[in-house]
Amino acid sequence: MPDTVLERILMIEDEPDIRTVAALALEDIGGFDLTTCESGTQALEQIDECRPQLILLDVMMPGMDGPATLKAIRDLPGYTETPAVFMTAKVQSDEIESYLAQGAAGVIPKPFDPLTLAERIRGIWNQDCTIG
Amino acid sequence: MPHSPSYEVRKKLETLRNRFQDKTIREIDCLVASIFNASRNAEAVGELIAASQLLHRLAGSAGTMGFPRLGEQARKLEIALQPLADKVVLGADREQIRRQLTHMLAAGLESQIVGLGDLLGSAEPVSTGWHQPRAFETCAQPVLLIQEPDQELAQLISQGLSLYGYRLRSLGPQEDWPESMEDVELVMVRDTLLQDENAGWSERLHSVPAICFSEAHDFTTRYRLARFGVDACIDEPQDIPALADRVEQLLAEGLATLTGRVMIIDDDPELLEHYRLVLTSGGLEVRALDDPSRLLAELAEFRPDILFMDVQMGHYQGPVLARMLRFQAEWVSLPIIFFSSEEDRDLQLDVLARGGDDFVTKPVSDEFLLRTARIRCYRARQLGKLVSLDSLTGLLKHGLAKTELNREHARCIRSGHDSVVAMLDLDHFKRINDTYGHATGDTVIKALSNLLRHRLRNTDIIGRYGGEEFVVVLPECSLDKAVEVLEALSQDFARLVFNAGNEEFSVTFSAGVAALNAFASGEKAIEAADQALYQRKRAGRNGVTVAIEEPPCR
Repeated sequence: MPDTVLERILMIEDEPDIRTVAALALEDIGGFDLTTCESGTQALEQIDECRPQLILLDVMMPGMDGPATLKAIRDLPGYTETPAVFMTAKVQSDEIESYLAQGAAGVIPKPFDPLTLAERIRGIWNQDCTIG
Repeated sequence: MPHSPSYEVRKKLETLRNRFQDKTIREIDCLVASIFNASRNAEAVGELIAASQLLHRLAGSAGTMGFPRLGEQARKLEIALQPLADKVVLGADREQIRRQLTHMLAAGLESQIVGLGDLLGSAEPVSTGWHQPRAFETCAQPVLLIQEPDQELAQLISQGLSLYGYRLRSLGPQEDWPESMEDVELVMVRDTLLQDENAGWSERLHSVPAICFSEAHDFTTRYRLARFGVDACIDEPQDIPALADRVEQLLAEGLATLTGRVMIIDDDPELLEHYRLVLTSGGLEVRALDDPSRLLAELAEFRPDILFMDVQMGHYQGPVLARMLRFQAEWVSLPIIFFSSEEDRDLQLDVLARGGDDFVTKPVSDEFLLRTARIRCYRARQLGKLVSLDSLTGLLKHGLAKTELNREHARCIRSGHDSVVAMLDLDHFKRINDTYGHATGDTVIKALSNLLRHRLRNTDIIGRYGGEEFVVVLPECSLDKAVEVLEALSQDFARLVFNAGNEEFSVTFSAGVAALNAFASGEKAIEAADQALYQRKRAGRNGVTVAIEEPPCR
């Protein structure tokens, strides 16, 4: 069992619909404290305001994509170990492999089910805490 | 009536989905236009990049928004168009790209692209994509919908079923079915109301289990009802115990097909994660494990329906692990399926002989894996039920009930909470069997077991102990509370009316209860409860008696 309870999540996703559904899934259903950003740039500006315990990123975004955003976040002080979860519409074995190699704690395939998203995030968090 | 939070969430999701639908209709129009534009004009092939991006976005989002078929189709088209978009980015000859696109369109892509919009129009009110994981159901308080023109009968059924713990919502004969059926678990409707197939009910009937009240036994009517998606036909709904039994069966079938617990063990973390994703997205519960030495502990905790295992994991061998698991009686029947890249049939047979159940040959396709897992889980659950559940009542069999009782005894002694065991016995059951026959006797037994299952908590243990005798274990429950609950149950049970031929009768039961933690063993507690039951029988039956605690033994 992890020592700390997951409360604050930062989500970076360019698509407004998915942001709204995820907010519903994570705030209303999951009871998390969620901050959403529409781009990597915005995330870098806001990250210190929400001090996330977990970061959820879309892989494919215009401008800075998911992996690039994560890399930039990792360069900031205080976020080198923060678990990151990628969301992607492509689930190929080698793709997942590369995200995990980049230090992602998990990968959530799109489309995801809004009713179970919070549960899955919590699962990844617990797993990450037991390993880490 | 205040809505539960989940209902609110579902409402919001509905709104979002409508918004998504409006927006996407326009986007698909643009998409179709730009693809055709690109096929006619080499200068416009650049539009393929945006088109391919939009398809990727839809592939990822449409399923979440409740349009899984649109998402799947978008993914297919994305895969088809992506190579062309890549060529545009790389600056390949535009005319050549255009010709290739035209060729693809003619070869069938055109109708698929034009058909995208239809997938958005045909949104089912409750698509399976929204429905699949039922994690919610625990707090959503599902209801049974009833529509019966005979108001008196509707009232009788509603009252009767509510004794079993169901919540009912009654609709007038003219009333339309509700817009959202997401909190409706089952529908009961009179056949005469199913006339106008263009009315709202016809598509919704397919999405929930449905019982039809129908006295017509002719082929045409019955065939028509089956075509509508009706799951059961009942001609005498006033026979509440029989109706409740059918309701119970239908609800149980629905749940069984939706769930399954899978454990996978493989030392390759990426592959493991991939399997986990595939199975999870298929609605199964998955525990993935990369360290074989934790297998026993994880198994005991997770209790999977099936286990997938690699043949060779580091210095551990899958078949040896399988043999090791079979040392323990509780894992003897656990289905074990091996991932194997071996093509050698002899070796595979050898592995099967040493405790495996089946093979899937690597590399295994996602679809194959998911289907194998689903079928195996379903079979395992069916078999598990046959082995451990009483065939008449679906309750635990004697032996297993006793095991569970002893487990709870150990648990309450260890943690210090109160738990209660109760023995129940139907009053004058022999007389019922002798007077009305065994079939009627069975109905009475089923009625009591359904009542117990419905009114007690999911965590309570209910077993059929013998012919007309039941055992109930209530973990984390005080003696007072247990007596209160059982007394309410006995009063409600006595109010159930059974039918046999032209006669109506009712039945009572007696119960003896004992505080589990006041006794040195589960065995002793059950003896005490049995004694209390015997006292209740002598004191006039129909009620609950508390056992005398045994003097502290230290």
